[in-house]
Amino acid sequence: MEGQGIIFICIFVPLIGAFLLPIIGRFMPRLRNILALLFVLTAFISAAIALPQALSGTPILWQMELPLGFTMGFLADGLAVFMAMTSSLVASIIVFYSFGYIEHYPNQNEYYMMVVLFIGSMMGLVFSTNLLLIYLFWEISAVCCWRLIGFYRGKDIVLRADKAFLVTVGGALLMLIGFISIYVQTGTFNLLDMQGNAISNAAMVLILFGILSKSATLPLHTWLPDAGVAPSPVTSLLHAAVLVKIGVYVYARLFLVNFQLDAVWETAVPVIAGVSALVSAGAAMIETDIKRIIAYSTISQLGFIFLGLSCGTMVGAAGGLLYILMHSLAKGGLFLCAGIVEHSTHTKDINKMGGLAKCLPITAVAFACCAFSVMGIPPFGGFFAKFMVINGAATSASPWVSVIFIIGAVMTIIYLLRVFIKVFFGEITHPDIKEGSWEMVSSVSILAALSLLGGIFINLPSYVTTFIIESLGRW
Amino acid sequence: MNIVSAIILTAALLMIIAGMFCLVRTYNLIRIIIAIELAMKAITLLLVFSGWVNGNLALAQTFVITMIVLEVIVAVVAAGIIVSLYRKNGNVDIRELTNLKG
Amino acid sequence: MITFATISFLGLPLLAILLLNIVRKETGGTISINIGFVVSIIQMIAAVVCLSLLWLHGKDFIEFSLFWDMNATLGSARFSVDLFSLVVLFCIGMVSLASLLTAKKTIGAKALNYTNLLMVIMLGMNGIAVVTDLFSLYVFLEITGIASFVMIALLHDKRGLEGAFKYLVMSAIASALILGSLALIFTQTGSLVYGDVANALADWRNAQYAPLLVVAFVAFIAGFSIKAGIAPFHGWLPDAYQSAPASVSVLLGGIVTKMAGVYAIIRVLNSVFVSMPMINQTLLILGLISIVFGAVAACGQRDFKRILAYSSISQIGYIIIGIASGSLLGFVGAMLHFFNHATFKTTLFVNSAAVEAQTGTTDIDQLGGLQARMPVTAVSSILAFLSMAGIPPLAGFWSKLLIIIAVWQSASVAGGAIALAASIFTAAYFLILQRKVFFGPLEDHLTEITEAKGTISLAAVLLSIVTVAFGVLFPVILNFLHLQGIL
Repeated sequence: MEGQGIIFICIFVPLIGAFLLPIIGRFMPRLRNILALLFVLTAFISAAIALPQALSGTPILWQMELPLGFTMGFLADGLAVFMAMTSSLVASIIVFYSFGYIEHYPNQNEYYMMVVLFIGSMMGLVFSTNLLLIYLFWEISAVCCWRLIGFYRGKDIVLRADKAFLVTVGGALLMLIGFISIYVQTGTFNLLDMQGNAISNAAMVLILFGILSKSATLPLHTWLPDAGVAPSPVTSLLHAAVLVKIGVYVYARLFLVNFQLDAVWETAVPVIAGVSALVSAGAAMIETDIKRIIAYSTISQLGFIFLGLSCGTMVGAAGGLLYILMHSLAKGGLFLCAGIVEHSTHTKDINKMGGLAKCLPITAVAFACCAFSVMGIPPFGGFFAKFMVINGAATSASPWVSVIFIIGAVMTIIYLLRVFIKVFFGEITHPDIKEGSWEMVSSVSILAALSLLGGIFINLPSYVTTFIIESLGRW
Repeated sequence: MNIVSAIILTAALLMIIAGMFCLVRTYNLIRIIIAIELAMKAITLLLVFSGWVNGNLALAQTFVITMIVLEVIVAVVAAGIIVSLYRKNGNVDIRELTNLKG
Repeated sequence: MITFATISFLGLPLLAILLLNIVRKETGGTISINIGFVVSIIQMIAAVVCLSLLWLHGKDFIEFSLFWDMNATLGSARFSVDLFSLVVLFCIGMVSLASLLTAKKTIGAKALNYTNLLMVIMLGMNGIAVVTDLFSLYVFLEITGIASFVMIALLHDKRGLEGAFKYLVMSAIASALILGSLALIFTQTGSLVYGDVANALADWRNAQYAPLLVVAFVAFIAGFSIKAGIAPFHGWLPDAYQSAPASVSVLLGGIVTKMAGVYAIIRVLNSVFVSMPMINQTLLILGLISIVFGAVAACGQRDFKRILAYSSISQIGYIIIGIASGSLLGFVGAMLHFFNHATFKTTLFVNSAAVEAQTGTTDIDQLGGLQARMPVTAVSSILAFLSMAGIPPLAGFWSKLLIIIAVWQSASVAGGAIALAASIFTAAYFLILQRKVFFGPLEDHLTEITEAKGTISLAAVLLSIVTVAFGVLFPVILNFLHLQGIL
């Protein structure tokens, strides 16, 4: 088949390139930074090139036949390419932002290597057609995440990095047990060979544990707020663009595309998601650490994505995908803005900030745009996604679930406005601070602009997501 | 099972039990080695016995001779270690061996 | 060619011992280490040559003898190498090489003694790998054991002597158990050659001395479990590993206990006690206990080497359950895990040797943030640990996966699930060790530390490359094994 090379470029340029970065970084830090950005952009561009073919109905497929049902392969279908584009787009902006953010810290070689490796493993994961490959990239991303959270090396910080690693790896091991039980049942790890199989509820529970741990959903969410000790671009990467979306994506890949689920899960998963959304929204309302608030908000928003994907209606699923895109952009922007604020004021406590809009005007506007998108204010992109998800849930088998989420959405508005007002308005606490470096400011502006444009030109992304979901042929 | 087999097996068992009892009861390093040697002698007896039972006494003899050689080497190494320990600790009490703990 | 290669496994260490004792004691240090390098490298080459010849001729095994006639009478030692023993022989060469590389920088004045003993231990381990009868197995076990006691006590320090003595006593008890069971089996079979014993035991339930045979089996499992350090027979293992000189713990942890215990169990289970579900089930349970116990106990340790020792107990459990599953897949998984464990555990012991050589301690509470000062050691230890914890795409993941699938399919679903879930403890002690030693802030008194120079780092790098390459190329290896008809 034509064009398999494009998948390989998309996956292996960042994956292998990551290991070159520390070597180059020893001699030319500047070149290393640029190469890191280039690798991630390569992934984005090659994913974009693969998009037309992915939507054409005959997606690019590469397979390596192996005995014992270990057959491995990469498949660039609509869902995969969509995820690849979303995450690599946000990731390239985050890498660009890092230029300014971390230039004063040690261990930059490791930082860029881990970030790029992380993106590479994400690319690998989205294209995988084999449960083992999914697990493989899943664990690589966990290792990167561990190194990145522990970037500052403090005792407490490393402990939290360890916690994140243990929770995600523990979840992943349970998931692997689920995978093996599927393997023993079907004799293969290859997803393409078992399309449409029903899987046992035990396997489903185990896999769900893995997904929830990675996507930081109740009851396995606690590592995510703690991971806020990492540098802001990292939290942005972890919370917004890539890491937490891995779980959501695998959910979509396994349970929307591949397996038949018991009807009970169409209620159970939305309920878990709903509880998670409400509890973490509540936590976000009382937290005072800006990054923790946004982290809890992420947990809450992930509930919406799960709701959309699991409610069993087409609109909901399409909305869920759209939500992934919009949330990545907006939440990425929020974290990066929080990073600028933290960088300038050297504190994360919102009670010690105030009136920053005067000194950080661009950041304030960008923060507002991203926050509006997350809240779901029209015409920002987040609104349409949220609307589709709740619409889908309302027309599903258990419409009452959508009530929980409407409450959740209201709470989102409250806590984000609270942060915004506390930080950017009111009494001026830090009169003599400056905006961040131009890389940082321009990246948050890009993300804010994309959030807005995504809403104004909503036709394009919503067309793509609806098309992807339609072509699954489930409904 | 005839009477001779029974006697030999009982004797071997008694020697092994005696060795193990000594091993458990003593704190003296040299006695520990003696206990192990005692048990090994019982096993030597068993080897000869088994050769006698299946009519392959020549093979059993080669086994026994090889085994005795190895036993002697183990005993020598053990004695060497005990002597060194005696030089370090001034006694041969196993309760002194508490440097390694988890 | 093939004769030379096979004979070199036993002949070369013997020859080297002769050579080593010709050189003068005062000046022999470097020369002796170099002789050791040559022997271990030739052994690796010979193993690869035999392996390729095996595949070229499509044979299952190659028989050979050392100085005497192939058609010698009953009971005399005949040797044979098959796929598994060749893999193991390669591991022996590899770990010995790593141990020598470590010793070159750390052993100092004892180089000649060390190399002499290393050759004896290699002879013993190679013997275990190639023998075809139970009594010769015992003889080589003893040779290996005796050499390792002396090696642990090589520096004549208090701890070394203590560890050596504990090992000696436990090992002597194990020998007594093994030999006792041999005697009882010999009563029944009249021969101790693997094949003869297997035939004679085919319907042991109807044998004249059936109850005695049950005693024999129990003693056998207990004896080899002590040698392998399987929980609950592990008492001596952490002490021996912790107290041994750095290069000796590399050897012990990397290969010796695995040869003396695990390999012997696998060989005996495959060639002698074929189709005895009772023994398989016992080993499965023991293996699971080891996996969980070793990993949990490792989390509570405060000494670098001791953590590694407990993790050895845990990892050996995986090999044991793989073989106890009784299926071909389990056997291949166990074989691969044997190889992988030899690689990554050796890497870790080399790392501990580097830390000990540079900082003078292996107490993890006194260390911290060494990554900034010792990057090679830190990175290779991370790779080795991740491989051990079963994080793909490193080597350990694949062998563990095969083992767990095999156990799941052929023995017990719960066993497979427990074994897999226990990996979380592996991850836990990995994190504890990394946090205390390498990750985390640099301790003030360690700012002057530099990376271990020369051969120690070289060993760590080479072994890490093996771990990574094996893991990344695993699909190719799997395909190859399949094409050879092994899987």
